[in-house]
Amino acid sequence: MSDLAKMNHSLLQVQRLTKHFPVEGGWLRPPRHVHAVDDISFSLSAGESFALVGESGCGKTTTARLLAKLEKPDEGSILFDEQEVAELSGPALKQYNRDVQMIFQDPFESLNPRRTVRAILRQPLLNHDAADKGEIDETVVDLLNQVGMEPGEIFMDRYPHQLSGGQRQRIGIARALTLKPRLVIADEPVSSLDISIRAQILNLLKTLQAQHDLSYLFITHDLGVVRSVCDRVGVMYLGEIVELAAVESLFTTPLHPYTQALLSATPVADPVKARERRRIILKGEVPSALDPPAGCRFHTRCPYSEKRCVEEKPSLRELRPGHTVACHFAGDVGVEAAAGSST
Amino acid sequence: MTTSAEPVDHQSSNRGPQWRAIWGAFSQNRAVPIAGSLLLVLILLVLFAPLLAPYDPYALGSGSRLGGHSFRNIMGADNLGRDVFSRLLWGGRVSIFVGFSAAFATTVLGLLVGTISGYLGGWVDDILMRFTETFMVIPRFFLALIIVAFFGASIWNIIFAISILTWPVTARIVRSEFLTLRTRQFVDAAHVIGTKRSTIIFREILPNAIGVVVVNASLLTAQAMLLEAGLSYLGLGDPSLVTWGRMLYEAQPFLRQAWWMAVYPGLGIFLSVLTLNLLGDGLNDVLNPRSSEIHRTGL
Repeated sequence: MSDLAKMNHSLLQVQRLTKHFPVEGGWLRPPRHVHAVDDISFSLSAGESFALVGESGCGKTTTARLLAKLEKPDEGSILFDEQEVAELSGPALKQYNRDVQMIFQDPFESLNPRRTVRAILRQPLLNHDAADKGEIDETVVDLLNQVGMEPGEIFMDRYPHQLSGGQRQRIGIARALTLKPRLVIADEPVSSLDISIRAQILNLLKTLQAQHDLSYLFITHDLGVVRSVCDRVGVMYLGEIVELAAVESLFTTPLHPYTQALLSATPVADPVKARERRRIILKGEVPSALDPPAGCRFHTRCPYSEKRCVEEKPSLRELRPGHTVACHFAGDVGVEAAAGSST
Repeated sequence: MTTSAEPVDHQSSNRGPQWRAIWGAFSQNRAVPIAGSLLLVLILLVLFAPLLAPYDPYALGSGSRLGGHSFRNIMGADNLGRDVFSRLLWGGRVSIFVGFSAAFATTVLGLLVGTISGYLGGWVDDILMRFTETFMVIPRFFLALIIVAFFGASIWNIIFAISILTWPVTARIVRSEFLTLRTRQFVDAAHVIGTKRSTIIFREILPNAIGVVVVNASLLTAQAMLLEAGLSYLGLGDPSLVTWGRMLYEAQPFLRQAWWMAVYPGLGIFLSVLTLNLLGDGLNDVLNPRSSEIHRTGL
């Protein structure tokens, strides 16, 4: 990293972002809403990798889609480079569309089966006049080489179905890089890949980050991914961020009971250790996002839940430097002890 | 099973591999080449009718009245002594022309409405689909009868009547394709890289929907030919032109004396409709990206 000032400069600031999807009520019933994303705030510095983790349906993908402007937020603001994204227009909007790119979850789905690699990677350059006509092919080959598909020329005229899953995801990554973005949103970039290929792709993402000075927003449910590539994490549960911390801090001392449960569920390679550690098994199912529980949304499944949790919604409080958590009892003796034995 | 899994050499032109992939898929399917070449033969026959037909199809006295098969009239002659073989070739010209033009007009109209409806969605979709449904609830054949009876039985009116009756189905098919395709991840990806709406419609979505449209068009051609034959059979065809349906209509009173008047045009309709349906079926297998992917990669 070049200098400290740059590190501290916050590239992206998400404030009180909210998105509710209406579910049709019909004639006799009023419409209800799925609380996909409820009042979440976080920020991301330039060059940083931030992860949003949580189970499926917790709103992490919706957050990614909101940032990529694939959905419109209901409330809250997204500041990119200290500018309100919703108010961008004209060239500034176009620049935002270049600066923020996305890598999609399923490389089988995110590439048009009818277009060649060449056509897929040319498209962003054409959209933004980002390269001279004569140099487009050269740029595309260069990108392919950068994402480890060497020699790039071989792959130019292939169709997605002629590539392996890992190769397809590399194409997806190359497409995200064509416009020299500053923030790349990676929505479960490796979850649909074979275990053996995951590490390769994650390493590639790390290398590219250093080369291109990228910031990443990782959307994932895989804590292993978080540990290996991210700097900071936000844990989401039912549309809310319940814990926000640096990766080291989160893995050594998880404060929220939900995070503790998540961590205790990740597999451990060493069988002796695996047998020794205590697994926290959550009772019940995730409540419906149509009708989230009052108070703390986690209280229906929390082993430490008390009357206060039902009545009062916990707000995020900073218990340790840079480590905030939304739980009334986080840091208390009982909760702390459980965390200790789970790691 | 694998043909196009071989490495594609990068020397080849831009277009090359695409055609090779399509050819590879075609060569795996048996129905398409057979039906395709049969259709080609039919088209060539009627196209070269002026050269192949031994007589003027409208000339009386090319053979003896109701004369059977002979060297002079290989498929016999009709009640006015016209050569059935010549009439068959010329009649096929009209029938096939009507079939293809009606299918073309239908497809264009259906694509237009279906694309707008499916891509834009919302109230535009609601209005267009209610409009489409009003066309769908009208009994087809009777509206065709009315249009032809009202505006006159010219061949263009018949094409118009057929197209106006069949486009709603195409529109709905195209719409449903667009509805599913526009939520696919690769369309999201296209939005994120800032692709224009028109490019998304024509480059990202349409190529994925075109398979279904082509299949539908080939089935439509068969339907249009049948509809035209039906109208002509009822005596509502263009009276100045010979078509297969009209030949059947004229053959009706003479079924006992001269079966050849009815059998040959009937065979013409039967064969071309069968061919087109087979082709449509085969194309469905080839052009459907899922199934052709399975064919090609052997997954």
